[in-house]
Amino acid sequence: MVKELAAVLIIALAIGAALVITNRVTEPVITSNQISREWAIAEEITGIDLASAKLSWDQDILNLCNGVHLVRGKSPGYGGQIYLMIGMRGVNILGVRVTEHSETPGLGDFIDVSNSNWILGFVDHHRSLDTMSGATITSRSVNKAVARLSQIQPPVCAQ
Amino acid sequence: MNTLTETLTSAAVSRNPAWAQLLGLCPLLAVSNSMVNAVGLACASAFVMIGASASISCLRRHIPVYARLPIFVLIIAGFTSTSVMLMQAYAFDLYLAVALFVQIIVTNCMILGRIEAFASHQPPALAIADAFGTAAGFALALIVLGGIRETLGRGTLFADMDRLFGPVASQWQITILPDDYTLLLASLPPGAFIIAGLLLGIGGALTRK
Repeated sequence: MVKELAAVLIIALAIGAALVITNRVTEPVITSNQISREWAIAEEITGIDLASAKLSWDQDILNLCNGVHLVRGKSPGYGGQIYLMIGMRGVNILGVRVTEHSETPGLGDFIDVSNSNWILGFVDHHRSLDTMSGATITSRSVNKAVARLSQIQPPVCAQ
Repeated sequence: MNTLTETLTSAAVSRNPAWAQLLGLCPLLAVSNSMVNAVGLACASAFVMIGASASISCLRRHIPVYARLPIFVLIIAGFTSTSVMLMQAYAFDLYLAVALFVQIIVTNCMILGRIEAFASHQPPALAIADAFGTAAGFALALIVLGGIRETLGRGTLFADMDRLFGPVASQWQITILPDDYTLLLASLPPGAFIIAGLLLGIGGALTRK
């Protein structure tokens, strides 16, 4: 009995150790992947080359100080949180992108621009987009989030 | 050597996990909407399948019989988590596309089934051969289905392969049908069921004596 228990423990410890090591090795790469993806999305929304500028997010708001600002936020969807980024020029919406989601594949994932052009409908409009049939919760969640995030005022730029 | 080759080919062909045993259909049907997704999932499944089979076969004398299933699942889960992290680090674009399905490799009955039935009673060399064959059979099924669905659904083949093989592969796309062609049914799950069913039927008709 003790021998078997020891075997189970040793196997579990070995797997735990392997996971810790993999995590230590991959974590910096994964973090930098996520950050560069976020910048790529920000550039896609604004059409401005942001890589050269040394910018940083201040509590989910990034003011580019040329009339354009970006806001990121999240909203509860059907399969978990939907993470969004929205670009504004003054009061006009420059673009919206979903950065991360876990909506149902093939049904709720139309919010991702790689699957559908639905989310491009927000550009320049202050209105809710049509609800997709079969994905009411997802559609409403994005609509509400865009309405909320587009109201957020950017911090004043230091001269 | 003969038993090795025999194990390998029978696992891949005559006992093909997808077509002969109908195992692992959930990821098979869900992910096979394009070639790149199919290849990505096939690689991750093969990594988990071979790694878990080899380690369980090595440990088979030390795993208590009455606690074997939790240990099998633990080992499979360990390999799955490792492959998820590796994919996030080194194939991030592909990870974004197939994330959900890589995480549920752990529940793929094909892997647990082959380990319970084969790897846990056999020496490592045979277990690896069987895992390799099973993974190859699964990959074959995924790639055939992925190829057909991508062709029918989007009119292309090998699109977005750079997600997996880097910038070199961005030229690999073959456009078979006109640019504006799409057949949504083939890309969505119902298309997977229909095409997989037809393939099964054809296979059955061909092998029936």
